[in-house]
Amino acid sequence: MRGLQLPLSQTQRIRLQRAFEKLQSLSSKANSDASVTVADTIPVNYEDTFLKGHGTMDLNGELVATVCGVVERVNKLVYVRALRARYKPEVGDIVIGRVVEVAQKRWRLEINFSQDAVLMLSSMNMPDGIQAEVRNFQHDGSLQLQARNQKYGKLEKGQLLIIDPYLVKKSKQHFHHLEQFGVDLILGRNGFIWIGEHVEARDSMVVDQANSSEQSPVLEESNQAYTPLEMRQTICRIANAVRVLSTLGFNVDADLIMETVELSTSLTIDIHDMLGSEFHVLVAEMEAERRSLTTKRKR
Amino acid sequence: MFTRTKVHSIAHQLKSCLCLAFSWCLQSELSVQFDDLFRKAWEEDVAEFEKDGHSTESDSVKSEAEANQGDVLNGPDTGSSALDEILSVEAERFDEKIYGGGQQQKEAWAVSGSSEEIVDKFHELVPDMAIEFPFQLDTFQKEAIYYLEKGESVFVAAHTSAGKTVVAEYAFALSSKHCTRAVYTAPIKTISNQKYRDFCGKFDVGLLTGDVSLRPEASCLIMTTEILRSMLYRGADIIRDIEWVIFDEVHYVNDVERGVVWEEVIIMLPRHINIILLSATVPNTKEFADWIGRTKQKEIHVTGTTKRPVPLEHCLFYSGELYKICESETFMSQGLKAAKDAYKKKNSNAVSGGTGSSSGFSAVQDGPRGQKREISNRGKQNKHSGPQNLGNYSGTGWGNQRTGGGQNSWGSRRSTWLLLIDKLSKKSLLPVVIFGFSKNQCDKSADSISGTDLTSSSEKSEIRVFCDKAFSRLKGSDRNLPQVVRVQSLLCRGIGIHHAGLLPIVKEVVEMLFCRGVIKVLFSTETFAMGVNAPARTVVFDTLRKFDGKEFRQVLPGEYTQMAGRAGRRGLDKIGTVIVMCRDEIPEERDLKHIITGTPTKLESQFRLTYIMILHLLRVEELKVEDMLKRSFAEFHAQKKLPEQQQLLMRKLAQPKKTIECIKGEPAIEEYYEMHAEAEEHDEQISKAVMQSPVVQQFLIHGRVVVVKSQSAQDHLLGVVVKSPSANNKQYIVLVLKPDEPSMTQTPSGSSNLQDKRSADFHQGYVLLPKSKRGLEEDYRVSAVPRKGSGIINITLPYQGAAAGVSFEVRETDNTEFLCICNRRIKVDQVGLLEYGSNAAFSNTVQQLLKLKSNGNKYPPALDPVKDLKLKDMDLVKTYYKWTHLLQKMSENKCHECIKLEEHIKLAREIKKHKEEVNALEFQLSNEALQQMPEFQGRIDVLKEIGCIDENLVVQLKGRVACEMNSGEELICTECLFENQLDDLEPEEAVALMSAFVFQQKNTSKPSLTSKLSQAKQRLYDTAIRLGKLQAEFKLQITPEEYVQENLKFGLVEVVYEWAKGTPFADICELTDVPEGLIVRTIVRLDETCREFKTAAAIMGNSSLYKKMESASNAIKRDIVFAASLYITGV
Repeated sequence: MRGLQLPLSQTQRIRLQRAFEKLQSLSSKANSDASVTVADTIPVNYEDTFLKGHGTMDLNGELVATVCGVVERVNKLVYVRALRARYKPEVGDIVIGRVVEVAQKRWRLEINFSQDAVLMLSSMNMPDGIQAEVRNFQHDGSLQLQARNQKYGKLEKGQLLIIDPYLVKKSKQHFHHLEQFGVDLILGRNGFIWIGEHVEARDSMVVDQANSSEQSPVLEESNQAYTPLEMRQTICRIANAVRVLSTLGFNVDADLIMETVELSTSLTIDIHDMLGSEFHVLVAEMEAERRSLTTKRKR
Repeated sequence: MFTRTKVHSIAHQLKSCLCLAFSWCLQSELSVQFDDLFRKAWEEDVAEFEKDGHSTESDSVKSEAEANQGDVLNGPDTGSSALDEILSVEAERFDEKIYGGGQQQKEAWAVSGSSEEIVDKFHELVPDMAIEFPFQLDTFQKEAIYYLEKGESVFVAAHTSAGKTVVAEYAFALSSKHCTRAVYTAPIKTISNQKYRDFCGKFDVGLLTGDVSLRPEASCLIMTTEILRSMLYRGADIIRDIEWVIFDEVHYVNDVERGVVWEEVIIMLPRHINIILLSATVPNTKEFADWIGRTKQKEIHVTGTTKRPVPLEHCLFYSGELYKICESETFMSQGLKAAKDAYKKKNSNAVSGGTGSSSGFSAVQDGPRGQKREISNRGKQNKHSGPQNLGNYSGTGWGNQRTGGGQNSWGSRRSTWLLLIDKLSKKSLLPVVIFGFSKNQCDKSADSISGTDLTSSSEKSEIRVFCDKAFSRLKGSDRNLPQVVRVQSLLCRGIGIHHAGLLPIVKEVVEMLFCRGVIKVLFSTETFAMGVNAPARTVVFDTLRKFDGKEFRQVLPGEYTQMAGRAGRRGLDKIGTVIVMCRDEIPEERDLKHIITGTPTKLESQFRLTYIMILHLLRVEELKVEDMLKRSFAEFHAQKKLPEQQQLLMRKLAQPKKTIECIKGEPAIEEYYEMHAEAEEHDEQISKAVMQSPVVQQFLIHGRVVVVKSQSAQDHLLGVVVKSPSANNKQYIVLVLKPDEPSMTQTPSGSSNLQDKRSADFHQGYVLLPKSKRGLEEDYRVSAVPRKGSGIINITLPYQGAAAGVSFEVRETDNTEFLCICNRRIKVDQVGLLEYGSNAAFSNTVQQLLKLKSNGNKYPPALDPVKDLKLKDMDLVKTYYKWTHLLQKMSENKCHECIKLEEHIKLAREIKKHKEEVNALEFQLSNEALQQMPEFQGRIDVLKEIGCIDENLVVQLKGRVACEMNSGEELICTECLFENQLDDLEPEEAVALMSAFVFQQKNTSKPSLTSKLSQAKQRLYDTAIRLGKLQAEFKLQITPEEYVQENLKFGLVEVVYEWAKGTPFADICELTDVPEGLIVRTIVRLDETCREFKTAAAIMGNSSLYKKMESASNAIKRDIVFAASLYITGV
């Protein structure tokens, strides 16, 4: 139950518990002993030479975990992947940051890391942007961020959510365009999630010469500062779906979000009711059902 | 970008507009309309034009036209001529545009032509040059600069020292002016170092190579292509500021090892960057430029020159004489003939003489040959068989000759060299570069003439001072290295050596001294010709054969041109001399002609997938590996055709789909068609094999029930053999039942061969068809049948009739027409049937057949091919069964009885064909059609298997480590790290083991290793073998052993170990036969590997490995190995 802060009725509690149990039974058994807390000894084969990785330490001849998390092994490398920690950047991650300081040549961005990230103005395409609130960038090197192309830049007309970074798994795609809603969904690896009105982004690799004259599409669009109510509602609905998932501690990915949203619309649950305990329980049940289905299919 | 049509339309509009205006002018002498119309016409198209970056050009056209328009207004008399002029000028201009460049394909990205006007009006077009050159620019330079000013990409192909650098310099100047950055990439570190020195005074230059990083913040950066590639993969900030990327020596794309890097970089460069490609003359510049233009969607202007600034003169050198064989690009055979004559004369002397003088000569003759063989070992020996015999004759004895030859070899060589140098200095053709194709050869040749002295005393002192200064940066013991001492003493006498085996610093000293002109004779390998800008008066080819790593082959025309291009110093010499040495024979005219005047090698794609490329691409969301493959030069031609194919596909898809309207309501025709097609296929096979086997003959006697192919091809006829073939008549006579077609009484459709016989016995209708040709023949044959017993065939075949309500036919068939032979035999009254054609006999037979048919199955069971026909071939038996089964199924199908069967089958065939075409086209358009796709899939599977990426192709920790491994084979390095193989090794041992990743020479003396090291070596070897096997399993073209040998070379393990332990360089040179230069290069690269491993350790989170690599790197970084380049620091 992991300290869920929800006012649950008796039946809801039982249903939720059952759903969680089901989920637990479905999760792979192999990893069940792999979760460690600080100072736990990690079992390794000492005759075989092993390789200490992140989150481990040699203490009196024993390998000891220095963070809470899951032990991962790659060949002889043993390391602990931390859970519920601050975001730890890796090269190539897509993150969303909040500008906290504006300097001559660089901006400082809060990205949920132990330090603020630096974004050199030279590594952006955009000429302006003091009023910018949130931008997302690619992470690179020692906390240097960069915006590779037009896809990166100021985010407008939407919502920013902050969830635990470990819930966002690295995947092939972090930019999602949910076409049926006309909404952009960006899952930042640092746990920042952006849901906003769709903006046409241009990839420099993709040939799009007709538009080469209009260099700053984002700027132009900022002039028509009006988002229809319907759009706002959709954004809120998606945002609430993400919130529900993160409270339940499920991995957040685009498919799951979409399913949650569909569930809420099919049950005609109001946007604000989505955060109620009943919907939480429903989502948990749905997820349990879905996973049991997929595991069955695999077998 | 403008297309042909657009240009056309503009030209048209312009013309028509001018014509209109012209007439108006004449009528009213009013200028207003002209002006307005002109403007209007222009503004419509110029607007579009300007977008495409043609503003300058169109503006110039406009202003020119307007200027002319002024003339028009001056007077109606001059008006007409002026207008004519405009018209002609415009027409020409556009024609040129259209036919010069854009015309090649509908969509050509490579553009060339219209250089004259640029040259003529150069100063108007480029009024404000970013940099002034002290000399008059060449045509191609002006052209290139004009396009640079317009911000367009250029491809310049010209000979070495034609002045390509001017273009690069101008790009640098432009970027300084625009406050942007320019990147210059060169294939070899030496070139980049040299360019750095050259540009240093003029621009704000930085240098980035594997081992040095100088002022990386400068606006003009010189780097190796590999560095640029890693920048692109990282998406470094610099990329954003770059305006120009200059690729020097772009023909390096042909390099098997590294060519792919160029392609990768070109593919990945963002669109805003303009590209300048400098290349030697290659035949397919257009094609290459077209590819780049297409991938980048921008025009590439192709320019260049085939002219040499200093013309070349090619000569043969034979026994002390020069024979001119080629001048100003034309081959002169009389020179060769003269040389041949001299050769013959000498040889005949040698054969007839056989005395002292000629034996001396033959020793000279034999010398180089023996020497050559010594070097080559595997050279073409039969080629030398002539002189070899000769040696036999003239020598006092074979064995004697042999030993004598061995000793004489150097002496003779020396005498040839001396002869040559003497000749050259007399003709004042020094300095000379002598190209050999192996390091050994260069060394030995230089040593052989060590007695000669070619320098004056002032030059000597200059050389000495320079050397002292240069070598002063080395520490004491290194200054006395044998190589340093030897080269220094050679240098003092005006002789130089230059090859990869030299220490970098020695190499640089030689280059610099050569540029100063104090070295008179330089023995060098091919590397000297590559980029190092140090021309000589004369170039000599020691031989025209070289070893390219696999085999001995003739020098390629491209290579020859590149090396010969070093002859002739611009501004110093009027003519450059190229000399080909002939020792024991004169090369064939054909070969010489090919090498000297042949077209150089085409630029070809060496694109291949590497793991690191895949991993890098998978890491970045917006780049796909498939895209990379699609954009490669290798796929260029296929991709170019895509639009056409797409159109074709659209057309095919747009075709109305034909549907079959089944009258039975249950359309099973498709299924039926499939079966039909399959059955037909089997049929061929079987009828060929089965029916012609001798066993079959026994069964095919009269009375045997058979199934016969019918003409209409869907139904098959049950029949009975009436008469088996005799000696004279090769065909069977068979009575078959005809299907009860309602059209029986009409002409059977589609069967022209059917021929009815008017027979009085039958009342049923029959029709006489006009006799076809075949019919005539048959008639003849039948009548010619010999009478055998009572076996006269009185009925004429084929004979049609009906009995018992079923129509039948008696006809002759070949045995191939039998579909199957049934296991039944019925009684046949042969005589009754054939001789008398009696009705009763017919009806009797027909009834018997019908009985068989009514047994439920359409046909009686066939003979078992195995039991009865004694077929042995397994495959045949199988097909046979399948086929009979198919026939069965076909007959059960609803369509079988359908009257519209034939029509529908035809339709079905068409539909099928259409479908197949569409499928084929779709396949070609899809990613799967890419040549490298299977390879890509295999590599992805390997990466998944070893855990670099997961099922969703997301790069995992291991993959991230592999991404860092640039210098060694990425998989082996990664695996080595993750198996913790370096853990129990000391830093020195670790770095020694790592040398296997970067060392490149195959055959070396065997190093003696400590037990710990050899253990580690074995471990690494096993890992590599395992990886090789894994890759072979996934169907990659890899054999494990070769894979390991390619990527792990343990030759320098001991040397590096000793070096890391602090042994002086002089001592470690003793440990191996690997030349000093290679040792240094390996260790320098090793430092790079250390850095990469360090980064990997950081990613893995292992601090002890990190520290180990750090100390290892420190251990090897010292003394001569890491002495800074003279080019960078200056002397």
